Amino acid sequence: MAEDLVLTEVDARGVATVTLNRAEAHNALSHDVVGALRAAFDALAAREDVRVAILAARGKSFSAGADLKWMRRVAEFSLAENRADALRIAGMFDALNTLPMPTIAKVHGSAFAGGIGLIAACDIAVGAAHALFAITEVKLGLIPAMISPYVTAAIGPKAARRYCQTAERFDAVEAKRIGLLHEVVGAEELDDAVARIVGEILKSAPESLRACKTLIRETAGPVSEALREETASRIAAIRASDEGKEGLTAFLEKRKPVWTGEG
Amino acid sequence: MAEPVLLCETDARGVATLTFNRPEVNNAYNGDVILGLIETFGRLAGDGAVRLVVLRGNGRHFQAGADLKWLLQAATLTPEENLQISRNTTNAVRGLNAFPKPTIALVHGGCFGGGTGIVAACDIVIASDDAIFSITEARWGVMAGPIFPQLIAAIGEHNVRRYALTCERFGAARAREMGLVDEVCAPGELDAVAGPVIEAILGGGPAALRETKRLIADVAKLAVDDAAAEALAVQHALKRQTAEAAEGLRSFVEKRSPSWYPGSGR
Repeated sequence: MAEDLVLTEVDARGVATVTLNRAEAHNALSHDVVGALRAAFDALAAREDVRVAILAARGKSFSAGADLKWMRRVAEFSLAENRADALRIAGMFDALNTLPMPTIAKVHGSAFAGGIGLIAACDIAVGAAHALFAITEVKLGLIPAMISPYVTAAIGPKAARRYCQTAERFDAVEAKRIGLLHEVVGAEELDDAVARIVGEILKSAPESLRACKTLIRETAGPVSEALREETASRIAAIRASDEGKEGLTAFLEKRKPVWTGEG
Repeated sequence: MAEPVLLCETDARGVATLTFNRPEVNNAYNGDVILGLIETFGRLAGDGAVRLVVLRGNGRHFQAGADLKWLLQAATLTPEENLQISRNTTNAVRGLNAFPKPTIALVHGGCFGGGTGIVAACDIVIASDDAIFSITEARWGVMAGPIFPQLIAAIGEHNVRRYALTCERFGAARAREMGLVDEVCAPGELDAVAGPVIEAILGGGPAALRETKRLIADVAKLAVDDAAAEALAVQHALKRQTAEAAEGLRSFVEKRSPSWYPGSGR
């Protein structure tokens, strides 16, 4: 059932928790998960009584990024289908980024590619010390497209230039140093760390926080619809290119890709 | 005669020191402080003898943010008078940010609300490890808007999203990690650490420094234009006259939790 992919709970204080619930697939972002996240974010956006939203996940990983089955489908997509699919994903990240109330990513395990986009689009990010991170798209002949506005805003252009291009894994301490995480704690302390931040937010004025969040975004430079469309166009073009096709095929066939120009 | 709210002295080398001087209220700023900042920075900018400016606070704290009793009065002013206060606040931070000579903030004790904006608008920030920072405005139902451009430039959008939305306190080490503070020292060592930095600046050509600072602002797009400043001031002023702000400021005066706080729930 599609609604089981993402769980939403709101407590009496107005604290919402949205939980990725595909532990067996490391919370990979399938077509249906993207749809369920979008629906969950839209529902929260319409609620005046929600004071703060936590994005969490079940299982070993926070989110492993793109889903394998979805990748198989993407490999067959036309350029137009690719672009429409990418726009849908960009819309989901935008809905998270522009949720009117403060958001906290509770990162209990590793996050890759799109999973990093989810963290970067939240206002606050707290992670467990054992979590690992990587922006892996280029290994598949793809680019971190729809997530890049949020990732670059979080970690800055210099760190983005390194980690988007090298696809290296980095640990939670490095994630904090570059700004993806605000705080790193032991896994057993994660609940308390998030509860403490929620407690601080509940002391502040709800209308002030909503106005404050909007103004920070406007002052920093919002992610425009034009930019979202541009990121979707670029990933669509890359997916349809020879290199993108080879990367995806090699990944699905579990072999090393052969890049043009490679000896 | 009442003590001046700002003290300003310039030494023989051209080092001007501007000191917040309301220690009895932890150097909280009110209308007089804001107008004093605008007037003083205007004067220092045009004074050829002044090479750089050091900002500091008298007493136990650098700057406790806005004087909430003054804000409470402002909330009862006419909309136009209230807007003028926000314009002055916006222009004071904007003017400090665009001040044509190097600026150094020496921070000890509390640095809250607008104080964080003042620090973010300086070129160099040295803090002793007893310094505590917090972007506190939402706690009182008001907005920190006028200082967002400088804060975002100093610590980035993601860190402003955390600390302006939680109003959490953070220490000098975390402030340094995020880029708000350049150097941290032991309490009482601020002058010793600032000495070599001041010496280094005095070794630079005054015109070269002015051009360098302006070019950095241009390249990094740090200037806040008139339209953006007016928009920040309008939003800041309107928020202060909402029912939510009235409740927040009243809860401060009455030393109680505001109505929106559900309790710790734990």
